[in-house]
Amino acid sequence: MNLLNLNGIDFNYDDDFHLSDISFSLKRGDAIGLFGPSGSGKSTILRIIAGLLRPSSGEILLDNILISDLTPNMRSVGMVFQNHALFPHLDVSANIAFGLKMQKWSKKEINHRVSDLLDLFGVNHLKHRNINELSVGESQRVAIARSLAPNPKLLLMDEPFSSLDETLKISLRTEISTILAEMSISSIVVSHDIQDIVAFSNNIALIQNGKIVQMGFLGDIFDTPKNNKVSKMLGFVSIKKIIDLSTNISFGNVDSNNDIVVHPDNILASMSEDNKGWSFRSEIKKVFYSGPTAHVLFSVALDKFLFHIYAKWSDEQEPVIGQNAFINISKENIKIVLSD
Amino acid sequence: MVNYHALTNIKSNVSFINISKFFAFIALLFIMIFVVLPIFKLIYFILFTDFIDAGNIFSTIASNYYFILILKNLMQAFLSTICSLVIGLPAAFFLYHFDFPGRKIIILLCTIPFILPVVVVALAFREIFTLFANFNFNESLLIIVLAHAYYNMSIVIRIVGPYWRKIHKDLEDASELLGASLINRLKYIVFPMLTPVVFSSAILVFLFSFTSFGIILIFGNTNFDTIELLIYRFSSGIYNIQLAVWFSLFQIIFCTGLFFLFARFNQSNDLAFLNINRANKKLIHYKKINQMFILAFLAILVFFAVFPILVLIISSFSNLSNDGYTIQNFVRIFENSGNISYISPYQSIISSIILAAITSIVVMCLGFYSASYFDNHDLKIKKIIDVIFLLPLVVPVITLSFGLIITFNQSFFDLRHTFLIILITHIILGLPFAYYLSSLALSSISKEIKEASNILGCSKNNFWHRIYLPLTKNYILAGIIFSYGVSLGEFGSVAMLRGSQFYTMPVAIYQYLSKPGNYFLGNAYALSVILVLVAFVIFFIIDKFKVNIEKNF
Repeated sequence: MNLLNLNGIDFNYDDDFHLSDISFSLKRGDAIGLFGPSGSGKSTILRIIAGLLRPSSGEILLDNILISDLTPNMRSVGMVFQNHALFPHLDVSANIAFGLKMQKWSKKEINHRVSDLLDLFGVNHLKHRNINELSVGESQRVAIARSLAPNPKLLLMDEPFSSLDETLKISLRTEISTILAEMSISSIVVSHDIQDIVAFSNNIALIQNGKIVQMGFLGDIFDTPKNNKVSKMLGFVSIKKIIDLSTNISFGNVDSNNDIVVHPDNILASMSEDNKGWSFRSEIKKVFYSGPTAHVLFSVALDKFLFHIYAKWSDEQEPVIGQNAFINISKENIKIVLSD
Repeated sequence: MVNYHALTNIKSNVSFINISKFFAFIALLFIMIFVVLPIFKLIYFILFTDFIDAGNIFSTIASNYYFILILKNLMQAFLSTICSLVIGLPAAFFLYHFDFPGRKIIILLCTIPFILPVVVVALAFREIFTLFANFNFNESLLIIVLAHAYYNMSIVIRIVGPYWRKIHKDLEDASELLGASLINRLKYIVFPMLTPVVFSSAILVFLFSFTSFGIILIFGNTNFDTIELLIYRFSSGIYNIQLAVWFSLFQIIFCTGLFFLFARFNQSNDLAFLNINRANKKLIHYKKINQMFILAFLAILVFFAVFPILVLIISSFSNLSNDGYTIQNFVRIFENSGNISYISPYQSIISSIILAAITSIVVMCLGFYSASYFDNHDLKIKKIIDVIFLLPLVVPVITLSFGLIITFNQSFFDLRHTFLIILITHIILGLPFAYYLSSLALSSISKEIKEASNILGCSKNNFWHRIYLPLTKNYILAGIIFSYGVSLGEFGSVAMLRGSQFYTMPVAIYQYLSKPGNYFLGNAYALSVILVLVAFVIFFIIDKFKVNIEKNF
């Protein structure tokens, strides 16, 4: 049974921006990510679910209760704000206790719950700290602990990791997603960074210009991106031009309405030609040892165009600058998508 | 080949650092001689001269009359503060929470009273209350309180409003999602966070009302003399230097205390992290009844802000002997009666313009160069310097003027009764603002910009006119114009320190009011309307510069 159902949500902010027909559902204990560029409307969807904005039409059901007409404080929905929105006049434990106080828990229960959460998020040593004395990572933990304290049915996270630096981001999102999974919290994560989302869920809805363009299991979406906008959002690069100019391989019904794309992870390079897809021989311009596997750069000049192709080295022999090698992309990794 | 570029660099380098060092030195010297020295002089008088009999003085001050006067002074300030809050707080809420056409103009209109010269406000309120024929001037506290509220409401609106708006957004949303009802949101979030801010604005209003001088002097209500007014009377009419010294000391201690209290409350939580530009809710989307209520309040507010000014303008065009309208009052400004003791409106305008022009340029020079000189110093020194530059603001004007009188009364330093002492006082009074505004301007230039320009080959010296000046130009111009307006409207120090031959526009207005006859009253109206006009022009120019003056005020 679904925990959350959004049916046909429309929202008009002004002439430039509106959401149209947003519908999706979420199972209990699951998570879903709303993914899209900034300004696409994903944060607005969160605010509508939270009740901070009122949709012009459509309904929201949480736990089989129609919540579209309830005020935010009656919805039992928790939210982590992008800027954390911790109350600066309260210390860490008072911030976490706030929601419990609102639900009129007894003092003893509140103390118990708060200290549990402080331990769970590893911030027990900070309990009497002022909010402005916290680091970004600490304030992030406190913000999530605060929103979880009153046992919300659903947790909303609005760009939760955008203010953290890269190393902290990686460790914190693993830690927090583990905690959420252990507590079996249902959650919705909004982000423009796909890594933030996959830490919580492989189910996503891609949002663009106020619409859901594609939705489902990420593995499937990577397999069959619906159009070139979706593929671009997911990091695919277009190789239509170079294929047109370099080979006469036919990819079926490719015409001007279609684009040929490939994910960079699937562009390989080696000394030998791979006959299973598209291959091209060129000179290695540069070698990058950014990890255990080297990457190589080819610069291919074709008919006035200069293409830079960055590929993962997949040969046992080490790549040498100036040597000729093959760029190999296997056929199943070459996607033909509609171009808008 | 000669590298001209390098040569100019070296030249401007040497000169800029030397100039700023020089001006910073002058500014500090000014404050030391004309603020710190008078304070020490007062203390010296009390401690080391025998002409003051402390025991006798204490019994005088503790005598019923003065004791009750001080209590009345405190009560007046308290009521004025309450009245400013009653008007200012709802205004702050409505003006910074809802969006509707004309919102910005209303905020501007509410701010204008604050920059009007005190004599103009006093004259306007006198005029309004004379409309009520049987109003007893001498016994009414109401008119004083209302005039103070009129003058100070913008302090409340501009300090509380923006802060309240920030709380309103994310923090209230967050608390609502955590289950807080409207009442709980007010109880646990809005009130606790707003209280320090409201307190700091209230303390400032209290300080201004407590040290009010011009308004009460012009109302002529001796029942509610402030301590400032007593000091003025003791040093000009009824001579009683001993009492004046004691009262001055009291003023310095009391006002410094209030100022520290203000500074303490003003360090409330920094909400910079919440700097979200989400728009206010449109008023149109609210229930009709709420809209009506808000619009009614705002209409009263606008009426309160504008009505006194309108009354002044109408009075200035009325023919005071019969009931018609005339421009005679303005034409008469340029007449010269030939009488030596006659206070010429024309002469007062010329004096004011010259005084304000010199003051504003000197003040901004001193303020800007000092701020840029100390901008490069380490934080500890900068903090001490900041406090020193704040000093002239802490000591009330009349107290400061009295200190100057007793300090420079000696034969060697006889600056009293000269134009110079008035000019110096105006410069001193303008310095805190000029310095603060310049610091604000300089702090808006990030360290990275300085470093980037340096790496791009701009020498520290060249930096001055290629980076500093273009980036701070608006602040400097706004500072000059604002200082000009402040100097033009300054009344207390001129009234106290002037010799009989020198008078500015506010002093002339006061003199006309104390003379019988419609002839002089007409002059007072005409000069007031000119001052109002100048205040408007100054205000709108500053608004055009988009300098955020009240950022930390």
